[in-house]
Formats: sequence, C-alpha cells, structure tokens
Amino acid sequence: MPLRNSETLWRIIVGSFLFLLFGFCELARGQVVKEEIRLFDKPSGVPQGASVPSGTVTKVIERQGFWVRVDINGRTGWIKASGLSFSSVNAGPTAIDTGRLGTGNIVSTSAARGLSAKDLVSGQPNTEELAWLESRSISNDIQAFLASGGVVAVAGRIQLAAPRTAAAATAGQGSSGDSKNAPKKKNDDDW
Amino acid sequence: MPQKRKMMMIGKHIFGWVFMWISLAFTHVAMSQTDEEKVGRAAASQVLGAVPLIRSESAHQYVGLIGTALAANSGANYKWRFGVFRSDAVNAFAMPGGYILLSSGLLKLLDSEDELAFVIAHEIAHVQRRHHYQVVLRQRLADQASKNLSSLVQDSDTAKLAQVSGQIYARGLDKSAEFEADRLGVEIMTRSGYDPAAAIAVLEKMQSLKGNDPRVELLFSTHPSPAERLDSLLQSKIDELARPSPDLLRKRENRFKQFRSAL
Repeated sequence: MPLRNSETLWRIIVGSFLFLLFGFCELARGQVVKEEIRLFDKPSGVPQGASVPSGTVTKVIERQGFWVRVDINGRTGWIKASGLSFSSVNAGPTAIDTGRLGTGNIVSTSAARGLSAKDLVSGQPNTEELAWLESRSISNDIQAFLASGGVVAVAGRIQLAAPRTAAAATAGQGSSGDSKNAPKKKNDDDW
Repeated sequence: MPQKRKMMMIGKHIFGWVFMWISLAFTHVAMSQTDEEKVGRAAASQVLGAVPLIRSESAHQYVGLIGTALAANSGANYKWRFGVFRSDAVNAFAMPGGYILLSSGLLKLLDSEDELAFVIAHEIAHVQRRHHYQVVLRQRLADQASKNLSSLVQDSDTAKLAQVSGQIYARGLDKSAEFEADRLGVEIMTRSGYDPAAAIAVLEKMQSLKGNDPRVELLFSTHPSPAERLDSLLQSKIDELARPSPDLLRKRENRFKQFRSAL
C-alpha cells in the first residue's frame, strides 16, 4: 500500500508538471487579440456571435491573404491578421523552442548544416566566385518575363505606415537587443 | 560703365565658385558610389568564401529577372547582381552597391514567385537604404577617432574591408533596419505587381522553423523574431494594399515550381 501511494503521488506530480508544461507551451504559441473584436463567418464576410475581448489568447488555424481563421476555446471564426499580436506572448518560435530544448525535444537531427557567424568571419574571400557572378548578364526580355507571369506593375503611390517611435522602441527589446538609440551596443569599435 | 563691368566681374566670380562647388559635389557623389561598390565587392567575396555559388544559368536568369524588375521599382540606381549560393542555411545577404545573394535553403522553403519577390525586395531595400554601407562608414569614423590620421584604413584595403564585412553579416543590423527593409520590401514588390500577402507567408514559414535548427541559427540571431516582424508589418497597414487576382498568381505557379525543383 505505501508503495502504491507513493507511485500515485509521483504520477500526480509528473502529470501536473506535464500539464503545466504543455499548457504553458500552448499558451506561448497563441496569438493575442489586440482590441475587442467580433469573429466573421468568412474573410471579408459578416460578423457573428458575441465579441471577443482584448487580451484573449487565440490559436490560428489557417490564413487566407490578410485574414486568419482562429480558434478561441472551441469557437472558430475569421478575423483580420492585423487584429492579432504575434509577439506579445513570447518572443516568437525562437524563444519557445529554446525553452523546449531543455525537455530534449531536439528536432533538427537531420544532416542539414547552417551557415554560422564563424564561417562568415573566418572564411577567406573568394574573388573567383565573385568574378563568375559579375560575368553574368540578365536577359533583356524582362517585359516578356513579367507578362508571361501576369506580373502587372501597380500605378499610383504605395506607401506603408512607418511605426511610431514608441512602438519601434518596444520592438527593440527582443533577441538581438539592439535599438536605434543604442548604436554602441553593436560593438562598433570591436573590429 | 565701370560700375557695370564691376558687377559683371563679381557675377562671373560668383558663377565660378558656384560651378566649382557643384562640380565638387558631383565628383563626391560619383566617388562615394564607387566606394560603395568596392565595399560591396569585398563583402560579396567574403560571403562567397564561406559558401559556393550555384552556377546554373537558368536559376541565375530567373532570380535575376525578378530582381531586376523589383530593383527598377525601388528608385535605387545600381549595377544589380543577384546570385544563389548552395547552403542549407535559410538566409540572404545584401551588399552595398547592389550585390544580393540568396541561399538555396531559403529558396527551397518558399512556395511561390511572390514569396521569392518579397525576399529579394527586402534585400534590395537594405541596399537602397544603405544599411550595411552606413555601418562601414561608421566604422571608418571610429577608426579615425582611435588611430593616427596617417594610419587610417584606406578604401583600397580590400582585405580589411572583407574581414570587416564578414563581421557585419555575422552580427546583423539594428532591428529597426530589418523592420524598415520589410516595409520597403513590401512597397517595392507591390508596386512591381507582386502579392503583398506573400510577405506574411514568408514570415509565417520562418516562424514555423525551430530556433535550434542549424539552418536558421544565424538568421534568428541577426534578425528580429519572425513574430515581431509579422507584428511590425501588420501594424504598417499592409492589409490595405491591393492584391493581384488569383488568375494572375496562377500564371507564375509553374515556372516557380520548375525553378525550385531544379535547385
């Protein structure tokens, strides 16, 4: 009996730990509703049901253009992707996955090899490769290429809104830790 | 009429000075352009010392045609060169003066010509805004401050330039420069006729890659997280841009698939 009790206790402890761990990962993977919003029946469709309060964590199921279908506690519907914050819960997959490394979930066991910072710094310049690149010329049939691919230039002014300074400053708090206001952090004088 | 002659003399004098300063300004612009190209060549040769080019004429033409069309809508006047290097790494590099290098690992991750257009347009935006070149210029100023004027790093010191470039690409730019390149890249691709929503698709794909995957280690250490980049683009009202019709998008499906499968 004492053995069975301690086994049960261990099961509860491990189970709770796993529940918390996966619960946290699920939360970390979610996207957050920025402002109170109503779900639509389809992209550019009509709103339906009660509104979803800001701060609600959602799960994106699919995306069509600038619209995403989200799951909020089993209730699904479409909202504009701009209504969600992708980075407010965590710093993106990098942070989540680094955290997961501790659980031994190392997925990149393939032979894939990256290009490291060391490769770029310690390599010797290859002027022969550069010469090959410079010796190539691009075909003059650009118009024919664009026409055959249905690539039609858009007339008129196209300009996206630049971020507000405050937003840019907030955005500068992440992985590489650099911001416009702290050029010294780039170690400008260490090379 | 000595007064009139005197006025004419002064006028000629002023004209001469103005002409001289304008000429000097033009010479300065021409020279800095040359220096930018020199820095770009050194940087490109340094990267190509680490990874080999894919010497495929068809791949080079395909990327080059898209790149040239995009560059024409960027407003930046360079002798553009677009290359693909063989590497599993998911990454791309923009060098001062118009050299752009894309990894085969990145291209294999993409699913459409429009996604490729975003990747190239992002790099074009780096060149257009002189993001890397400005880092080199800042470094020269730092050298000036720390060394005797006579022992400055000269423009002709290509070995030093290449070494410095390798360090810049290993370290990455400010986050603000990456967000700006995303935004300008979307503007360039949309103006050219490509689908701005493809930019969202590219960042989604990057987001789906694990941070411990060796293919993206350098990309993730030198760029803001894909989630932050998504938020930044979505804040910029990207969703108000018009998209090409599905009929037009279908027209370029096959040629992209052919290009990707040949890599």
